Amino acid sequence: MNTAVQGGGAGMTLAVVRFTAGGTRFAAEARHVRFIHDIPFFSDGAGILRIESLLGPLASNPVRRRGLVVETATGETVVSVCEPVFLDTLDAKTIFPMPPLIAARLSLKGVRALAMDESGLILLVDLPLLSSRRAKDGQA
Amino acid sequence: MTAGRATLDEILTARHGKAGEVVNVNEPLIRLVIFSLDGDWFAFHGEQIREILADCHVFFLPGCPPSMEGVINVRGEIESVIRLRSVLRYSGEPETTSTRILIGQGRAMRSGLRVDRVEDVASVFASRMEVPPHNMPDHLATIVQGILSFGEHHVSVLDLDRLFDDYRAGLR
Repeated sequence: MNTAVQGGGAGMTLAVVRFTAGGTRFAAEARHVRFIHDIPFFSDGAGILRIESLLGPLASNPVRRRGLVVETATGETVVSVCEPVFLDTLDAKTIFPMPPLIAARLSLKGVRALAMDESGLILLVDLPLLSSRRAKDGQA
Repeated sequence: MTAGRATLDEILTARHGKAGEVVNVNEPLIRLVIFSLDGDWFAFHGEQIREILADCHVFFLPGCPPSMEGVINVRGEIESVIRLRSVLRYSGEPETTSTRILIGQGRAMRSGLRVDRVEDVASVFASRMEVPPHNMPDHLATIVQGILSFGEHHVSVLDLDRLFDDYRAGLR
């Protein structure tokens, strides 16, 4: 998926894929997502990882899901996320590093930063990291 | 001072109550932000409190402990907000609508701290701070730097850096 931080210095933006999980808004860098595709309603199918199982303690809502084909160091993984799923651009000014106390105590895995737009908070996650961790866990 | 004649110094000393009490104007002052939780008074050193926020929307963040209220946007900066009631083991919700968020700046990190009520911002002589009593509960003993009397209240002065370090380490 054609992505990246666009522009330089002031006015930089980050291309992301937005999705939800457990009623919370998330985003992942679009450069790590090769495709977004439909998956069977309420079903993950074989070899598809649920985002809730990757992140940690989040309720799994019975909502329509889509599959993100994520590039990892070892290949590709399909991660099932909840609608609405769409491409978006975040202004760099709206993206913040994790406050240290939250970084230390947050039990969700793979959250790298927070973004705040006019409608609230978005958690920026590292999908390749989450997918490869899960793959390693599976091998262990 | 005997009955009859007295010096002016004797008379003034007697009227001030304590003979020989002298205010040393060179004595160091400490500035405190004094707040309360369930009627108990606490303080942080004033230089560690960047600001006091009255009304601020807190965004909930899933996956945090209950003592972590969420994050706030303070003029373009994101700050965490911890509930000091939970951290200091007060149960329930505050019986007040006057809660405030103190933005605490420690040596290595910064965070908002929700308190029931800000009572005062005051400068007091450093010598008024006394060593905390030995029978203080364990969860307070490690973070209370000292105790002082302020009006009719005993104020426990808290070590913000220790509080942050303990919280980050999951000890609170």
